[in-house]
Amino acid sequence: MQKSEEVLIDEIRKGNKKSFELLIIKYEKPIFNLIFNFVKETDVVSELAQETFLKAFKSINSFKGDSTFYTWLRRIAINNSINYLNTRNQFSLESEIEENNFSRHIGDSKFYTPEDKVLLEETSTVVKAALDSLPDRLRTILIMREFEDMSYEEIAEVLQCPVGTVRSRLFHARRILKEKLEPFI
Amino acid sequence: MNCIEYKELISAYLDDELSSEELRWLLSHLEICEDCKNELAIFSSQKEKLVSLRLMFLGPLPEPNFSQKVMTKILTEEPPLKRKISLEKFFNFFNWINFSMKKPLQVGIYSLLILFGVLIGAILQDQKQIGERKLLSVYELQDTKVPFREKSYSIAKLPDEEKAIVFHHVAYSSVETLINEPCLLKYTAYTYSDH
Repeated sequence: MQKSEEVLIDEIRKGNKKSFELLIIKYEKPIFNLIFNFVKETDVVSELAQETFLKAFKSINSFKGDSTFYTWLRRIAINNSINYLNTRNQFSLESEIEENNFSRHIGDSKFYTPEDKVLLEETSTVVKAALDSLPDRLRTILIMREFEDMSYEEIAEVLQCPVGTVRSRLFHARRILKEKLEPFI
Repeated sequence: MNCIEYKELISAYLDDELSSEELRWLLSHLEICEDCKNELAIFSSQKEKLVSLRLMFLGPLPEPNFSQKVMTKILTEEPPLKRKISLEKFFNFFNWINFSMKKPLQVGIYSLLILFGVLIGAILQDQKQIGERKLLSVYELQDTKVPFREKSYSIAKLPDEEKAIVFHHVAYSSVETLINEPCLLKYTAYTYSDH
């Protein structure tokens, strides 16, 4: 952890609540991005980010400094996003339906303007669409690994599952992604 | 180990999550399996593309007053202190149950020690009360306003051990004390004569 963050956290613990605003300003953007990648809904991102920072503030005493503040904050944001997906009943129940949504993301003219179609030719957009079409339980694990650079152990801790499960789910996710991207890459 | 299992190792290898033993297995397999080698190339390229997406900001930007919004909520909310204390007590109670389930011998020893302490306390308290009562008896007998008869009756009513205290007090009193409090000697003599 940065020394300045240690000082800020000490200040917050002493009761100087306003010091927390500096941490919000520093991390609001990556937290917004992380939550959006998880939930894929622009409307709820701000609300979930607010919840994340409020929870972090309330439980600041449980932050022991074993990891960086961002790692700790990110864990709260991921749990929040997974809870949201669970309550939306899409985390596990609709996974099978989502697996077949790639064609909608890529080729359906109902969803994309001609300009969008041009953009879709760009590989990154295709990859993002393929990623978004994965079932939530596979998509979120891939985001944690590739976007957030989390280790298998960290992911297992967040998802409260064995490391072996993380490894096999990632492999499963990559195989589906490979099938979806084969015509494009 | 079949190719599917080796492909799972490839995925973990790209994440740098293989043990040295697994890495050796994978390397020796890749020397002989073209299909798995091809899978490694595909997974590797896919990973590269995904990682490059990480650098693109794809989500909505925070509104300009986002941090102020959160701070307003923080500053207006009261800390739930009472609830925290009661919850702590509640969980401490369950911790105690959990501890007693895990270590019954220790809990038994602690309970016996507590019981022993209580017993010693009760005995000492009782001794103190007896001592106070004995002293009271002596002072009652020294009261000169009370007639001899009643005093001797009082002595007769005392339990044996308290009578002994009175006589002990007289026996060890100095001559001066006995001159100043002649009644004490008289009561003693009176009681002796009764016996």
